[in-house]
Amino acid sequence: MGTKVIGLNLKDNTMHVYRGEQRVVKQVEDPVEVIKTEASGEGAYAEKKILDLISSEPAYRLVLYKILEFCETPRSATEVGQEVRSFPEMKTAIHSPVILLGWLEEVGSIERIVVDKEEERWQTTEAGKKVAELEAPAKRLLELLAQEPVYHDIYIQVLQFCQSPRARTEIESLLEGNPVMEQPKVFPTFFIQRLEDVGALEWVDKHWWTTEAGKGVLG
Amino acid sequence: MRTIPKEDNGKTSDPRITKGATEMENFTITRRDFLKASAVTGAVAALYSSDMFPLKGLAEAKESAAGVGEVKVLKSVCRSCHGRQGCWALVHVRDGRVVKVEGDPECHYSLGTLCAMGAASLQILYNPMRLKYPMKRVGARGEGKWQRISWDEAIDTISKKWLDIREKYGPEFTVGIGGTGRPNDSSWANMFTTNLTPNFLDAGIVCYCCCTWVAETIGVVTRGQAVTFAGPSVDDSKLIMSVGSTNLGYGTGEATVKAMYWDGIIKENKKLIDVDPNFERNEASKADIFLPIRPGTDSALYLGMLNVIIAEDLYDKEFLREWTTGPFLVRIDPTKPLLGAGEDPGPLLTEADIKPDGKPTRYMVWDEVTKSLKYWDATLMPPPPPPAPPSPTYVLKWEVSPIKPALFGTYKVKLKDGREVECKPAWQILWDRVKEWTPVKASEITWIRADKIHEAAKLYATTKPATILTGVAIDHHISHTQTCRLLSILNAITGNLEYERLSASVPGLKGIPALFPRAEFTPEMHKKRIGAAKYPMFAKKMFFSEMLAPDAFIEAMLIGKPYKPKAISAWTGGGLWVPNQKEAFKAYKEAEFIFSVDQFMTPIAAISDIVLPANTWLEKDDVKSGENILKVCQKAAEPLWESKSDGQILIDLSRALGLAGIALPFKTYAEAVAERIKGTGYTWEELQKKDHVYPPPSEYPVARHKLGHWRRGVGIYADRQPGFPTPTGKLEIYSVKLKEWGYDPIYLHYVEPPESPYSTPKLAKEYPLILTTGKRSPFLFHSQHREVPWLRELFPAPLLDINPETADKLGIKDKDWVWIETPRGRVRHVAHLTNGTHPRVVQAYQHNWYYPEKPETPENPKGVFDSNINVLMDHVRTDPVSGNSVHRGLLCKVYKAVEGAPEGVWTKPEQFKPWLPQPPTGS
Repeated sequence: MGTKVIGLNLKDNTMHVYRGEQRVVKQVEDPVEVIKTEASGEGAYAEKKILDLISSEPAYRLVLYKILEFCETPRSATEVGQEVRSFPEMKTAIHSPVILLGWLEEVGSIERIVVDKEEERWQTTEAGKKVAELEAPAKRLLELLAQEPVYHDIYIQVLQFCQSPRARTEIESLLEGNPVMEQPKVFPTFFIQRLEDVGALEWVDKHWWTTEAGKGVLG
Repeated sequence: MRTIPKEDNGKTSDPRITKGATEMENFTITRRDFLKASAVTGAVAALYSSDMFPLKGLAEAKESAAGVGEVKVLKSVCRSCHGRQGCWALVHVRDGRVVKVEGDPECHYSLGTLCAMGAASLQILYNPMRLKYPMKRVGARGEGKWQRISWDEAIDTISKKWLDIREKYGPEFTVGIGGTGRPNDSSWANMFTTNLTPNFLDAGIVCYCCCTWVAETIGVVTRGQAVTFAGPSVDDSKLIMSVGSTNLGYGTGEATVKAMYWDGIIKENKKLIDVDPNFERNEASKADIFLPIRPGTDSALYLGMLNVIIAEDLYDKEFLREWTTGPFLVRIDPTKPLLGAGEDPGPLLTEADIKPDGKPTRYMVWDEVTKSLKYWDATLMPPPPPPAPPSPTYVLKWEVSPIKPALFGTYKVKLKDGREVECKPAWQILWDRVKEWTPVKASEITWIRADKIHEAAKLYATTKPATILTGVAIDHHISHTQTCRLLSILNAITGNLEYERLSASVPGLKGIPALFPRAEFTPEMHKKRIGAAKYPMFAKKMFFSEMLAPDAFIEAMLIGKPYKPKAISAWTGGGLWVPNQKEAFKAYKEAEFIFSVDQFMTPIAAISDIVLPANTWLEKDDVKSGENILKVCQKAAEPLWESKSDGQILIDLSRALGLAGIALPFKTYAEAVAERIKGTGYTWEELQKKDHVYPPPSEYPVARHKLGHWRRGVGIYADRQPGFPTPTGKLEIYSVKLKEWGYDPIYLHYVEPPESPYSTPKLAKEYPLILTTGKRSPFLFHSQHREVPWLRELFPAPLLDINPETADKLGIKDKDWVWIETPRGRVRHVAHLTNGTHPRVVQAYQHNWYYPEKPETPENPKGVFDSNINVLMDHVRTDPVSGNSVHRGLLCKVYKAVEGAPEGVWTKPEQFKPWLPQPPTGS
């Protein structure tokens, strides 16, 4: 039964592999060494470059993921531009969709293809699709919930609460006095930002909302 | 602006302009003039002259003076470093171009000298490497791809981002990062940041400010200076105990001032005790007693000295009884009678413990006159009715008079519930802990001879007045708190805190407000300061400056607890001082948005999203106040390119953010300065005419130190009550605040450095040398001046002082590039062999290094990881009270770098030519 590396997450030094049909997440000490010794050649290296980009751009992690997902179906530059501008994360972004597309293209996660001999479209590459799979909010949210079980209930509480739009101060009031936040000391915003980071909460019209991915765990 | 008429042969008729000024007409001074004018004297120059650092020099960019306009000389204040006073300078301007900067002979403390950094100011002003326009990055972070943008776009982008973050998460999610004092502009970072968020990561924590916070646990708050500055001045002292190597050294360009102090020591036959791991020519060579201490063991030395002073009865008992918590009785916990140093011995005994209606703010002592318990009343009175000012008023008086509180003994006290407890005066507990610290024991720890410790203690205690001068070395240990407290106690109990007729450097100028006031945060916001839970001291308003502990910041960014800030404003090359630089840069890069305000593309600017070009001190009208004098800094050149003053950038940003009370109602920095100088009674133009100094030299206020200066009401505290500004009104040898925060309230215990031959002997086998850092070059100030050709020519790379015997064993020769390695990583320095360094110690010489000649890369922006000694520091193990990390006294190994210099680093004079000022267009 062979092992196939499908991706490396440089943020937490984990390697995602298939062993036969089973998908496994392994902790690794040195991702670069893994690439050299275990990765199956160019494919894994391409994924590493994409993950490098995504991990070095905390402001755009979700945006870059969303572009990869959106371009799994070939899209025109106009379509991509319109879609990216609609993301709430882009409201105060300092870079235009064109620049973000340039970054993704440079690391080989999307490519230009010509459709019908003339029209150019953007399409996510195979390596980009694998990274999009790793970066999917539903998956990352489950990882977050499993990561520190002590916070599990608070995450769920916040996601439930934000099924209706909530101001930050409302969430702070909701969690006020919760002893779980005392040792080690964390603040309510700790939960907001972690849920936002994985794409389970989003900031729209000055309120926090639970996303579809977030609602997915509420059952 | 004064004009000096030109005479034949370029000479001037101004009698004051004598030193080298006749050559001022050149568009830049010559290199020879530079060396002359900058007080780089023979001995100093010789030290640096070598094959590695040749003084043969760059081509002299001398231009003919013929056919050009007259030279105007502006009186100003040099701000090439952020020296507290600033050296008065004469700035020579011709046809709108600065042609020379030299010292002002009228400056009463520099007497016309100026350091190399000041003399090289025009190589900063006209440096082609300067940031010229606002820019935003368009490549991946750190990749070096930038796009020029307008100021409007830059300010608009930053303010929208800031407002969005504040709304989404709260104001604490933005962090300011400060760096060098580049002129005095790190204060702008402070002003901007601390009006928006309690989170400011500033170098003050490793540079004096933390002493101020610790000082609050004692009760001698010294307006941002090291606590020990509360002693007499050098001028007035008969003995100086110098701690660390930066007192004369090259901490700031004001070294010339300090050099005069040291000259004074010799001429006036003052005594000098020098505490330093290394034999430095400027201090140790002049010392009566040289104490070569093992780095990181300072508190053991001062425990040893305190032991001698108490054992031989060399201290001021009257002061101790009357003005300290030394005689206050401590209730010994009967379940823990054997508690040792560093552990809480128990609470203070108060009247509430022994009487049903007793007050908890009446502290009990044993009166040797009446042989009974008496109290000191430190009750806070209700605020007076308006219109009286709402300042706190305390009772502060003894129950009876006369009184003689006992300092020693053990007393049985019956509590109001009938139990009998054992109580001891705090001073007795202190002595219980100090008596084991004989000079012999201190010697074993510090590697200083026991007889020298004994001799130093006696000399210090018996020579009056005596002062203790500290550099920043005492901040760089995990026992920083103990060291500050021990030095403060030594200072106080030997009669030097209250020595009559001595001058003091406070209280500062009256009627001159701070340029921008700090915001008043709510207590809840102070509690949100990162690290406030770990370091309770940080959960309050800081007396001097709001700051973060580096370990708490790094943890917040990398682990996300207690929350993860989203944006950073970095000013003045911020953050190169933070221990464990690789972790620190990882932390910075976790921010979603970074903007930098800088003069050059520093490493943190290189990983920013937006950079804003700040101008130099020669391009703006400004005022500098320090040492009771306000001095006008005159604009000598129009701001180059699109650069703006830090103050104007602060105003523009603050207005865009709607921060009423900070920038508003000012629209320009000039308006803000005008408002500030209102207190002088003069307009800007009038001050310019009045020789640019307020008050005039004949009226310089000299604060005279009096008995009670540090007590409330007599000195800088406003409630007119006798006593120190502490909860007890006493100088707190037993600190009520430390007790409240959960620490040992006496807190004088010795802690072995976390990496040492004794604490980690296994590690010491692999890393056998002890590394100390922070020694300063006279040509570079913190992270500044790496782009200045003549200064880099003189000091192109950081040095490592190493004993020849040690070097020989390691196969290292003078001027070899060597690796210095700790468990955190390795960096390269150039070996400098000197017998002044202990064979088991090496000393890194000039910190915060980066290489402007190297490219911007995400992995190693501007070579910040090549030689910055702070790469090697451990940020995790810290002083439990003040959050300081170990910058001095960690284990390392050293070996020859067969690769030589880091790739792309310049070491030859001609390589720096591209950074020389270019001739003015059309000249």
